[in-house]
Formats: sequence, C-alpha cells, structure tokens
Amino acid sequence: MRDTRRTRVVLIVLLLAALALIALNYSDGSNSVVRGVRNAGGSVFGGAEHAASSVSRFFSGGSSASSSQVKNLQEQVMRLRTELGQEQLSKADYSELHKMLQLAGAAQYKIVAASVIAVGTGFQQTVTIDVGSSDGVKADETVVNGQGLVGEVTSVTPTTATVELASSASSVVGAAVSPSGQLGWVTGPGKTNGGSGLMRLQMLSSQAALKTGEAVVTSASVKDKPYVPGVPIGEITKLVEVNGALTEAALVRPYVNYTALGVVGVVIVPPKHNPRFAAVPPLPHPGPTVTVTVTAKPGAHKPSSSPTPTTGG
Amino acid sequence: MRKVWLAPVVIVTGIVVQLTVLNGLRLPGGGVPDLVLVLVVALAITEGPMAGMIIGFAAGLCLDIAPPGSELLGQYALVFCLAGWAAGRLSSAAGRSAVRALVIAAAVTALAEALAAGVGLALEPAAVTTAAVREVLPTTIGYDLLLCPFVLYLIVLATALLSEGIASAGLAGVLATPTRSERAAARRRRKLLEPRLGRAAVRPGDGWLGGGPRVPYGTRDAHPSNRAGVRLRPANGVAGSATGLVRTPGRAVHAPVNLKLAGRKRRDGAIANPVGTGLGQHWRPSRHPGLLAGARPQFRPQAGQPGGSASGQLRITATARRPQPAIRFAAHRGDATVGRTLGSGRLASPGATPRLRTGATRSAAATTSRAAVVPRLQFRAPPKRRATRSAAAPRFRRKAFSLWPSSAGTGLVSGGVLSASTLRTRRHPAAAPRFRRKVFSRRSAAEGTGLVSGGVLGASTFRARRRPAAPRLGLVKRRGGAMMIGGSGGSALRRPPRPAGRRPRFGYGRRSVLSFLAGRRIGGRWLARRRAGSRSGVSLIGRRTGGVR
Repeated sequence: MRDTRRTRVVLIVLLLAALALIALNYSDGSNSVVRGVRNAGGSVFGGAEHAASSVSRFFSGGSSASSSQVKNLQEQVMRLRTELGQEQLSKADYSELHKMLQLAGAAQYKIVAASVIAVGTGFQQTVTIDVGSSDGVKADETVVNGQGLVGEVTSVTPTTATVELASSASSVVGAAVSPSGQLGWVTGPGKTNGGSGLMRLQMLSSQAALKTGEAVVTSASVKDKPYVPGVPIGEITKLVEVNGALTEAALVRPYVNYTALGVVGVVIVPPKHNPRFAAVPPLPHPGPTVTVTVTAKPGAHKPSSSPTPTTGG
Repeated sequence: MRKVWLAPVVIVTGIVVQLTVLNGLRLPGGGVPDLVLVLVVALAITEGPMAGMIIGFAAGLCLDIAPPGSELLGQYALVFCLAGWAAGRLSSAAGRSAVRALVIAAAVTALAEALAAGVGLALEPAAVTTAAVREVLPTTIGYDLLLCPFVLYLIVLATALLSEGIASAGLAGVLATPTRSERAAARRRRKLLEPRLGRAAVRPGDGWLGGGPRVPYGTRDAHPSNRAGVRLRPANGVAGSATGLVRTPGRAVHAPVNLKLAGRKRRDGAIANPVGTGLGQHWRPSRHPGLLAGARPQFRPQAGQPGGSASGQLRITATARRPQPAIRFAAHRGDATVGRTLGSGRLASPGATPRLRTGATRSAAATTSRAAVVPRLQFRAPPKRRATRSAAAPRFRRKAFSLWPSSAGTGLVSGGVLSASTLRTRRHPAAAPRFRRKVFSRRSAAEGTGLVSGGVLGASTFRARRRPAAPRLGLVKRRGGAMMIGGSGGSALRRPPRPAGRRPRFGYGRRSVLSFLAGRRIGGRWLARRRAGSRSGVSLIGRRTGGVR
C-alpha cells in the first residue's frame, strides 16, 4: 500500500475529478449532469435523513411529530384550523405550528407545513425540509415559519426540498419598512455565532428615513417569486451611518432564529392582494389606558366622572 | 462484517448524523464539529494514503450531493480527498504510537478545516464572508479536535476487530489496552512475557544473532543449524518470535529489543552481499580478486567509510579523507547489484574465482545500432563535512525477522531487521547507502519492501535515512539510451580487473518496459558486446558461452 507512484497518480486523478466537478458547477449550476447527480444523492440521502430525523426527534423528547403526522394535519392547516390534537404533536411543535398558521391566516397565504430534517455543513446557510415536488412544492417559493421569513426554496426533489435561509450572506430580499412603506433590500449576515448576526437593510431612496423599532417585511416581487409580499423579516435595531452614503442603512434583527428551525411552511399559493403589514407582530407599545378619577364633592347630588386619558409606559 | 464494509458504513452513517443532528446543534461559539472530516482522517490513518484519499473523495462527494448539499459540487470532495491522502501519508510516521497518531489526526483535521474555509472563500465569496470564517472557523476546529481522540479510537478498534493485520492491530493494541481492567491487562501481560516454547522446525538462522552466517553452497548440511532435529523456539505471538506478532487486538506484544553492541563483522556496512560472501571456506587470500592485478586489498567499506560499518566510527576523521569509493570489486553474481534477490552466496558455485564484473551483458546477437544504456551504480565521493560527524551510537537491533530461511539472506541489514523505530534512535548512524530507486523483489519478506543490500529496508527507512553524508548509488546515464538496474542473475563476464580510474559497473540484463520495446533484454551480452567491442568483450563472451557471437 505504500506504492507512492500509484498513489500519486490516483491522487491526481481524484483531485482533477473534484476540480472538474467544481468547474462544471461553477460555470453552469443547472447543468444536467450536476442536476442528475444531485437528484440521485437527494433521493438516496433524503430518505436516510427522513428516517434519521424522525428517529432523532423520537429521542429528543417531544413525542413524535413525524412528517406523516404533519401531513395528516395538512387539511386542517389549509383551513386555518388551529385546533390540533395536542396529543399528536409535541408542545413546541404545536405552538410553532399554531403561530405559523396565525401568520398565514393574517397574510392569506396557502402553505404546506414541513419540518427541517437536515442542515447544511460548513458555512452554508441551507436546510433540507421534508416536503418536495410530490407535495406541490416548487423552486423559488417562499418559506416562512411562525415568526417570519425563513428563506426560499432553491431546489426540489420528490420528497425533499432545499431551502436557502434568508440569513445567508448571498441572499438578497426586497424589503419594505413598516409604517412608511419605503423600499430597500436586506442581506443576511452569513454564518455567525449562534445566529446572533444582524441583517443589513439598505434603502433605495435617499428620501427614506429610518427609525429603530420599525418592522421590515418583504416587498412585492415579480410574480411573487422568490418572495411573496408581506412576510415579516425583522426589526430595525440600529441605524448605520456610512460616510458619503446617499441612502440610509440599518441593522435588522430578524424575527426568526435561523439556528433553531423546526416547523416551517412553504407558501405554495401567494395571496391575491398584498397583505402589506398585516402579518407584522404587534408592537410592544402599550396602547393608551383610560383612568377614571372620581372626586366626591360635598353637597353635590351625584358624582361626576371625568375621563382623563393618559398615556402610560 | 467484513472490513471492506467498514469505511462505507461509517461514512454514510457519519454523513447522516452530521446533516440531521450535528449541524442543527447550537453550540457555544457557533461552530459544529465536522464529524465526516474526522472520520475520513481516522480511516485514512488506519488504512493508508491510497484508501484514505479514495474514502475522502467519496465521503466529500456524498456530503456535496446529500441534501441540502453544498453550493458547488465537488468542493468537499477536493478537500477531503487531500485530507485523506495527507493523513494516510503521515500515518506511517505514527508507528505504533497512539499519541503521534492523534497529533497527526488533529493537525490534518485542522488544516483541512482551514482549507475548506479557504476554498469556500475563494469559490463562493458571496456566501462565505471573511467575518463568518473568522468567527466560526476556530470553534469548528476546536470541536473537531475534541472529537478526534474518540473517533480515532473507535475507528482503530473497529479496524482491528475486523482485520487481523499486524500493523493496524499494533496501533489498536496500544489504544485498546486502557479499556480493559488494569488487573486483567497486567495478568495478560505477565502471561505473554513468559517464554512459551514450542516445537519448531529448524531454521537455518536459528541460534545466531543477526541471522547467522552465509552457508556456502554444498555445505548446508554441514552447518550445525541445518542438521535435522526438533528445536525449541519461542512460539508465535510471543516475545522473541518475530512471526505472528499480534493476531488479536488488545494484545500488543512488545518484542524485546535485543541490544547488541555491534562489533565489527564481515558483513557490516557492505552493500549488497558483501564482497567475499559465499566464499566461505573456499576463500583464500591468493584467490581473491582484490589481491590480483595490483589492486588495493580493500574489499568492503572499512569502518568509517561511506557505506561502512558502524564500528570504528571514531576513526572517521582519519579515514574519511580518502576520496575513493571503497567498494571496488564484485566477487560473485549478484554482488553489489541493487535488487538482486538475497542469498546469492548460495547461488554461487563454490569454487568460483572471484572476478570483477562490469556492466555485464548477455546477448551476443546484436548488430543493431539502437542506442542502449548501461545503468551504473556509482559511488560518489562523500561530501567533506562528513568528517565532522560524531561517533556512532550503539545500535539496537531487533531480533532477526525470518520469514525465509535466513541463509537466503532474509531481511537482514548487516544481520538484522532494522525497523523504523530502530533507525530513529540512531541520530548519527553509519553512513547508509542511498539508492535512487527502490527495487522490489517478490521474495522480500515484508510487503512493499525494497530489498537493498541484502536487507529489508521499509519505505520509511528510506525516508528516515536521507542524509547528505551518505554515499549515493545513482542511476547514471551512460551514452544515451535506456536505464536499467539490477536484475536476474545471469551472466557475469569474466574479466580481469580494470585499470584504476575506470569504475566498475554493475548490472544485468533485465526485462523491463524498455526491453519489451526493444524486443530483447536490455543489458546482457548484447549490450556488453556493444560496449566492450571486439577487443575484449567478445572473446570473453565467446569463451564463456561456447563461442556465441
């Protein structure tokens, strides 16, 4: 086995093969060879991942929320019924599904529920979900969860789909800022420590003025691909001052925790009308409270009430 | 389960676990361990470079295509292939040391992670940012290193359980011992160290340190070690017996090293079968070629000379000034040839006159003008700084490792098998002959071992002994044409010693690719006649072969 000459020849052959694959992929990502290889790998490893994730979920506490059970619930999901048999889902999954259905109902999306079964290696910000083309999922569809935007479907096999997360440094999402409707785009931070990275919002118009605390949602895209409008992305946490920049920029804290994805939904039918900011979670600002002050006047017939609105908080 | 299935099963399981479990973990620091890479490195360390890089390529490709898959198909295949090759290549340096294997695994893993990040940065700058690399890479490497010992231990254990290979089980034994209870281990060790003597067939080298003397042809039965009889020898698997070292995992037998302060022996430092080997009792000073024709009576490297013995190193400074190569004459067929199978002393006819042999030829039928080449083994004068070397340390030898009858010259370098570890203890050993090209022999005792100078030198030995001070045996091109080295013992020209100033050439005709193209053996008489011309060569050929011209 120490025949170094033969070893060297084989090494060079293998390295050249790897480089050829990279070059093939680099020049034309939708090459039929590459696609065929990926599909074959997806069907082989996708099944293994299906099985492994259900096994690991079985061991990870919560009772089984296997994909088949999620599928059984799809009709109810479609009808936006949130009353699900709690005994069929773990508590965490149930609450996630519940929130997702609320979001989908608010924005009038039709979604297919799915669960994340595999996560990309290294610096990739991709996940695999357990629904595929047989469930009606196609590429370039929006993926959401109960909190907001998860990402977009990049490729589909019959039983799995690959989702590029919005936190990826290479994803660019058209965005609208909540009250004003000003447009911009959001880029992800890439892989960071525990998903603590902030997205970056860059406005298009020099007139746009940003304030911290404003919500950012996806803006309308052509034919609603790859992002349907109205999906909450995050909240502006800090304004970025760039010297010489014409437009404003800000850091956005995403609503979704991209390192702890469980139940997600693929929007298979976009809403008929732009929901604008309907799905944005309510601001934590408490509304005005009414205080009633009763002052007893001696000698008066009846006490008079004087409502005095005061803003609290 | 057969051993062949170990790597695929382990890799596929590792990929699925990596994608479904590990990548989803939220660990402090942001990184997650790269289980597949660690598995590849561990498998490569147990299996060697060839298997390592194939496993690495396959694992990387699977990781590339398994959903969600990598951005660019092939980037992990590239990195893991290199990692597997490097780990397998370096694993030979680990020997039986678990710590060294661990260090190698850790270093290769860390480098491969860095390389993967670099490939990502270079090929997909949009998705991989420098900030992300700076933040995640150190923790990823840290988790990998944490994973390394456990994975390596398990892989080595599995390999050892599935195979009976000595090499892997040796490492497994080292690693697996702590798993047993201490008491049981101690008992086992005590048991193993007791000499277990078994009835064994006689071997020619029995009872001799360093393999015993060469037995001249025709006198084998006279030799005491060749007498029939049953002898007691350490049984297989017991310290002292070189065969069947470790058959079961967890039972590493540390063969005791026989310490021998090597005195000067006849064979010390001689290249190939030393001059005079096989002469045995037939040797007479007056018949030795070295005493003919006014040549200097110096038939083998003296102590302290290049290719010389380990003894008398203190005299190096005195003797090293001689620029001439020390080996002048060959005595017998097979002498001083590289790649000659061992035991030429037995092949030689007993009363043969020692003779100087030069680039010997075989075929007399050549009138073609096709150019050919005589390979030459040439001793080069050692560099001057050799004189500054210190005295040699005493040499440690392992017990002779005799798979073949040792009179056939089994695996003995000046009488013993030098393992890589042995060589490492010698910081300033006797100058070792270096050969440019390894020559393999079917009869070599160990797999893939180059036989050089009648001994078994592993590939690692070659690496360990590179030193500028050594005399070099090189293939030297001579007047254009093909190169050829060593070969079957065929003819040897009987020629008187050449006049001083002409160097001896060694070589026989040999079938090689080139000879296949040429349609005849390269070298041989044909070449000799071409080279020697009619002046001397032809007549000599004629006399020897009965007039063939």
